[in-house]
Amino acid sequence: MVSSTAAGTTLAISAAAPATFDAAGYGALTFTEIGGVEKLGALGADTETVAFQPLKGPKEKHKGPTDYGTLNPPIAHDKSDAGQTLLRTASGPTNHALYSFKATMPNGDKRFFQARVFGYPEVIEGAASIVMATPRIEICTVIVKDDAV
Amino acid sequence: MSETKKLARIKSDFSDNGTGESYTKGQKLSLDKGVFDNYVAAGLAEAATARATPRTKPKGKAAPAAKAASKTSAASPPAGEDLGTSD
Repeated sequence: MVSSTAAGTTLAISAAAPATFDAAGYGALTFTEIGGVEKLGALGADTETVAFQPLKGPKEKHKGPTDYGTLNPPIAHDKSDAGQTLLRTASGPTNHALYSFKATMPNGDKRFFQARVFGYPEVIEGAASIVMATPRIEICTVIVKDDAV
Repeated sequence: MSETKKLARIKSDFSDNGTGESYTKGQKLSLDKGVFDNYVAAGLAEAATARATPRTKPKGKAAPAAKAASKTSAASPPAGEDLGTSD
């Protein structure tokens, strides 16, 4: 197994929903790449631990509900970027729609999911910094893996 | 995979980081349906008609024609009233 840097990873968004929630369904969609993404962060499910400590014996740990996570990718704000514009549209407070996302790794592996965008705050730091945005993307579906051959 | 093409009118200047394409406000072009749908959802494009330029009525010519029409219409009853029925 060969490890690699994250350089070349992309994140893209689509307003459409897949016909089927698998690699084929997501693969048929057209995605618009989001420019200026600095990093994605952790991408994957986290299942709650439900613990029970009997009087006798070790603590039992069971799997509870699963949260498929949140992305807060820092983005160099560019109002002329089509992907960022769609992301801003998705973040509207009264926009309850699910959007489809595709993360593509440098080796061609893809991760698909649907999410709602809960905000697109613009971050303005000091003079020697880039105007950034930190959207909150709440993942609402199972993350579908489509690894390159 | 082939997609249906859609005729789009660009509503504001923007660029697509994934395709490397840039678009100008007012530009009219054919886009793949999936691309078109995303741009429309983002408010960046809208469906366009096939007409290259919008039809406009020349203001100067309309006035004399309207006066001539009003003179002729005063001489004869409006069409349809003689029969008393409509199609």
